[in-house]
Amino acid sequence: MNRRKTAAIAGVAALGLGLAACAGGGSTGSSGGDENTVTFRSWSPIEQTTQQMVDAFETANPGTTIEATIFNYPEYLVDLQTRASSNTFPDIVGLQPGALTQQYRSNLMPLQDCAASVWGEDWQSKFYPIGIEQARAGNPEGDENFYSLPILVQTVNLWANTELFDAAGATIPTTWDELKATVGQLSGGDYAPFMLPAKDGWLRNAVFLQIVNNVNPGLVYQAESGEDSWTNPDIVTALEYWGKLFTDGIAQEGAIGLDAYPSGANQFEAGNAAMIPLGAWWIQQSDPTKDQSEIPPLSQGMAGFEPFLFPTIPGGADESQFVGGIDVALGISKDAANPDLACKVLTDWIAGEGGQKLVDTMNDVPAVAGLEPSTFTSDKQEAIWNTFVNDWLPQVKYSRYFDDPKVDQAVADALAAVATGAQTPEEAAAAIQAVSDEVNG
Amino acid sequence: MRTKLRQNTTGLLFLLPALTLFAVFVVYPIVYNIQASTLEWDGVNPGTFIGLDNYVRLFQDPTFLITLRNSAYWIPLTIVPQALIGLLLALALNRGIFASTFYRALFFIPAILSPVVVGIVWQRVMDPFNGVFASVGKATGLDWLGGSFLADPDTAIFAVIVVNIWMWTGFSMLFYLAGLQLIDTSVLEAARIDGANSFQTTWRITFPLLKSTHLSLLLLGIIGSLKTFELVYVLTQGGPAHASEMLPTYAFQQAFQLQSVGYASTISVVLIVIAVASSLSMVRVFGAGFISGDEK
Amino acid sequence: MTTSTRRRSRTPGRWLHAILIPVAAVWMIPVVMVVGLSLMPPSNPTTTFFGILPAQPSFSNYLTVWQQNPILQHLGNSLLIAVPSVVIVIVVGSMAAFALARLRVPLRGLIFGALILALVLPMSGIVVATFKILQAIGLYDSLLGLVLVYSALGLPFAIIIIRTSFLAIPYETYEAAVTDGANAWQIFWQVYFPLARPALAVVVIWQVMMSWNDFLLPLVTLSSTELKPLTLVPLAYRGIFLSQPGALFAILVLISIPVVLVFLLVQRYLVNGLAGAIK
Repeated sequence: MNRRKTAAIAGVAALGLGLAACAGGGSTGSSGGDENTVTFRSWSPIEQTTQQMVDAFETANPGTTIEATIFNYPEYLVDLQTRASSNTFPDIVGLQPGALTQQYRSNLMPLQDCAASVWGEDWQSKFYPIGIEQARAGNPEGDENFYSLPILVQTVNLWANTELFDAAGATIPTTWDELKATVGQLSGGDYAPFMLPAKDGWLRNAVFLQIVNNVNPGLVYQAESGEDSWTNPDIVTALEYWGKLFTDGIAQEGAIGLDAYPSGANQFEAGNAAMIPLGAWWIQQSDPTKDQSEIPPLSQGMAGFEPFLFPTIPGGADESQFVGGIDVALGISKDAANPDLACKVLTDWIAGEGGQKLVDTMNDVPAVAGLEPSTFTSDKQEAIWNTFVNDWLPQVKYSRYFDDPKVDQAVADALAAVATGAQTPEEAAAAIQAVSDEVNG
Repeated sequence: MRTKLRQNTTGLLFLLPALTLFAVFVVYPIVYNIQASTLEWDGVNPGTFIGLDNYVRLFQDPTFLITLRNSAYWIPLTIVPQALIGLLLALALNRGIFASTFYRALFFIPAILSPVVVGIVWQRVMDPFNGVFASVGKATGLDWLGGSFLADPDTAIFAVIVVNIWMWTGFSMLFYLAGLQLIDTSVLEAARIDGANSFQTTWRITFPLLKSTHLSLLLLGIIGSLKTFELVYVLTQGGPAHASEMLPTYAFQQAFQLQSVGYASTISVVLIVIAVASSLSMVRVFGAGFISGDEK
Repeated sequence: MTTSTRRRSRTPGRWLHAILIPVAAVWMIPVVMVVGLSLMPPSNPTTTFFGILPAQPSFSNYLTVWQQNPILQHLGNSLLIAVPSVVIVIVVGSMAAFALARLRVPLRGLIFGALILALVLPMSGIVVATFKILQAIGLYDSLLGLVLVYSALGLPFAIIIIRTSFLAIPYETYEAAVTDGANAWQIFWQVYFPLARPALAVVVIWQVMMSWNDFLLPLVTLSSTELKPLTLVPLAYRGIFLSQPGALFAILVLISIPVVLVFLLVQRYLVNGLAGAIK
């Protein structure tokens, strides 16, 4: 019996090994496909908007087809990895700057020639500077190629429900002390003065980056690259202020368990919160291309909302800093069946008719200057749009991302630990430093 | 000898379709994971062979220890309540009382729902700021209902366990309903004639006769617990700060968010080993007949 | 039947209802919320009654979902995945279960061990490998590929459950059939298979749930739009920075309805006791 068992196990193992020799290989070969078809896979723009962009391109270029698939971000990562390792990489892919672009760099083609051929040699000046800078984040020393080009950019900032503010006679806080006072003034009602949907790591990091750049602008990126330390007192101070959001009664109860989408966003749109940290993209709630009767009163033409910057921190910078950057960038497979067509689609979506469709929905701020929505549904909406496009984005200096996903995760974990009291700010800073040491070798 | 061979052949013929599907779709993924677990690999670019380093790292990883602890909570705390409530429901609804079909459907619906919906809804139920529990707590003075169950690292895993019980109890009920159909009612009738009351017949006769159902639920429960992914992912994403992390959520994070496919495969391999080992030890405890089929 | 009638009259049904009604009511709160949220119009995302019901219910989400998607085409694809995989799992699974319960099979223990392995595989850990297999056998971007994967993944559960049920059928039944000169296939198909109805019902429900609800595999392995099953529709309402829970919940309610129908259809096999039939 035992001998037979052993033999059988060996047989199964041999069968398995025969099939093996696949994990760990690099990706090679072409995705092949039809000359007149471009495949596009991404997590953003949202599906309905993507469809409009596809239609716009196909109408203007008869005979071409774009096969688009839109995912949630986590599943998109699964799909991209599967396709990269099985020679089915899509022609155009959505990318985040930094880590994600770098992971797939060997599957992507440099885009500067495509850009120059469509927009001319000074094409870079069309884009917001932060977009151009971030597009190459994490490139190896000496590699000046653009493996992705931004399509949407954004700021991360706070939003106020102006109806609740007006009813309480409160004003938009610009300093930490004002924030605390305003929260005091706004409490006692049946809404949260400051709704912090901190379950999502990306949101924790976005809020923290606003705080830490207000404490000591730019320091955190030096810590990331190893030029400075995460245990620098200014970073510890920033972690302390992050913790105070929870301990000083600013954030609502159970903040660390609430997700931003759909829960936090719905509560804010239903008028259950006076302030929330999100970003420029919130303007899409007033999408002019939508049936306006389906939009809640507060969001119609942004009637009840107003963006503002995270308040300054005592002892920190005098002015609130601008944090943000690329929302989504696009890349082209180096094995695309028809690179010229893919280039045409990509540039059309960034700055052509497809881009116009995208901007019309106010999905986020376009990466190129000068693209404007065809219609505004209110003066307030137009004013907010202009604030983002003309005043805020040109000033964005600080990224809302880290270049390495492990550091990004370590910061998100540390922030959760501080928020729940599991770690002190000093311990949390040391924990991030440990990961950073590992990453920077 | 010839008949034995022919009997063997018949048995194998019956098994052949199943074994073929297995060989194609099960063996290869396992081998793939084992191979990947020996690599430092991001899943896209060529990997580096590092032997057993991933395993060494894993056993020193504090988050891995948390996932083991959480599995140790999860297994008994889901299996026992689900089986108990499921059995009581099955006993109650096996009697053909009025509207029993309706009740059965009601209790089973949670198992049908997509975990995404369950996650979003239970977040709304347990949200301490504006959720159902908190509102009911405010209205009734039971303030503890408004606790931050999902947000507190000490309670997050238990909050997810409660949702899991809610979701899967109907499934245990289904199992027991099926199991009860295999019991010969004449045995129960005989006991009743002998003067046993319904509690006694249930406890002394029905309960032991359901042994194979209990064991199936136990086996599926252990494996299901170790495999738990979606519910945890949508409710807490394994947080806060990994407090409710399970092996599959951690593997997912490593593979797709942290670009460490090699390490993630190591976690999957360890998961498989733990699951097989616990299933085998179950066989030891409850008798070989149940799993290996070497009976009769 | 007389016994069960007598038992029913003795059963304190009223007491059972007194316990079951409140328990069921509390148990149903989240389900009511799911339906409630699906009726919450995007123009008024406020709730009432402890946050359980929408303040202003409307069917607009269902209308939106219906207008924006070829629901019937997606439904057809879902059926083309679920129905064959249920049939395969039931037939192939009960054949294997019969072999393991009643026939002479070498290496029975090892085969069972392999079953456990298949039961253990975590979905997210096998997506990449499964994709490669489907590619290698030419079933990438096809519904048949998904049918086979779900069948393989559903088999261990089916085999374990059905086999338990076969073992509960007295061995004398088997011996009597052999004495009557029936061959293995006849005994399996005419005697055992019909007797395992309660277990088969459980397996059908399980397999429908798995093949109907999974969305990761179709998402990754299907690229043709016209092949996409119903479970991929909700993604359009769940994207980044998108808060359209009403439409999301509406489509998810629609997806759940067929599974509830299957449950209602097969659950009667869970109550028609078999003890009588065996005798």
